[in-house]
Amino acid sequence: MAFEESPSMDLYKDGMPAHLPDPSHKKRLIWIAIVGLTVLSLLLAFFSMAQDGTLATLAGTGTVTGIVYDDLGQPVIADIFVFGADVSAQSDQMGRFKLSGVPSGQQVLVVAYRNVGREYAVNISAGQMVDMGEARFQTDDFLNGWSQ
Amino acid sequence: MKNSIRQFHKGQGLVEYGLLLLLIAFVTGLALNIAGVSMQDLYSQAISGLRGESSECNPLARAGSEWDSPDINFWRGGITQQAGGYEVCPLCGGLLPGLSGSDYELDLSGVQVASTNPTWNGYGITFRAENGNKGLNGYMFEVEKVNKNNPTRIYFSKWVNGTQIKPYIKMYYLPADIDWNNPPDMRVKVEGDTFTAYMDGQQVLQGKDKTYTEGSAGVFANAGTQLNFSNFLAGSLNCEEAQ
Repeated sequence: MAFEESPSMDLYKDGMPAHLPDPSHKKRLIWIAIVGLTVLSLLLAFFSMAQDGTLATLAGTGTVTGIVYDDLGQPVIADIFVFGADVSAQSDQMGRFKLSGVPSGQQVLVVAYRNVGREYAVNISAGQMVDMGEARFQTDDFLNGWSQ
Repeated sequence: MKNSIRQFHKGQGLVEYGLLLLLIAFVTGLALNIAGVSMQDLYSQAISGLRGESSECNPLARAGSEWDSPDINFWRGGITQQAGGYEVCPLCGGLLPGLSGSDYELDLSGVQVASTNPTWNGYGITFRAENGNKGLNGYMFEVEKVNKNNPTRIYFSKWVNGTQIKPYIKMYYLPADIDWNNPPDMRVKVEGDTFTAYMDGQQVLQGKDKTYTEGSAGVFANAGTQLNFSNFLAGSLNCEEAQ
């Protein structure tokens, strides 16, 4: 027993008390609270990581391939990136691209060309390669002041 | 007897109390983060409260001499303060520095199109936005006049890494009785996943999206337009006076 947990002599001035106070009771409550809060913080950290995509990255990454065409049906050099993840690639002159390191799970791929982007939802499995198929821009996509 | 019982707990370890406080702070921070509550907003509100200001009706941010301007992609410059208002050159714009809110109401007043080109006229209010390393991220409410033959469009769009995502979140046409050159006061209410645009107190467009949860707000001009405006401010949704 620690010195600070030692009972006071005042307790015994009338003889042995019927119910001795439990000196470790409060300490136990404190530790129950600490353990409870630790478990809660771990759960919240898990949700937080799931929310910002860290968990998906920890779960593994996959690869996406595809081909990009402009509004005239010609293959183009475009930028491809994943929303919320620091992975990007560029298509070649044949419009083909291969984007590696994409966090697993449901992801939103953005194909960007002439300052306009189109979004594609892809489901990535760790270690797998997914063929997204064709990404096609439309004539209306470039009707703005910054794609001219 | 009670006093003596208290003496048992005098030596309760400071380590346990310290650990307990640390965990409470950590759990609170994580919970706020998951709920999408900005700690900066909370601190700002607390400081306003300590100063005795009415935090709900005090603007969160307002136009001033400083703007956070985009300097990459196709953007050409920022916003300059002039006597009686502000000037935005074609393909220029800026965000209110220091604003990082989630829900707010934006008020753009005294809009006057100063000069125009034959095509690609218009201007916009950005919200939940930031000038990222690769370009603008966020949303925009835009009034756009493609050319004199087309009706004026109004739309909500999303921007990712400096690219505008197509199709738009929501698009419609400006009511015929509103002059796009000199429109009445424009307001955009940003609440949860719903964005509502008002002109002259009338709702003109509503859109929904969940991509961005917080960010600054600002004013931008399209390629064919030089814009002037008298004021731009971001206010709290809870302030009835600002409505």
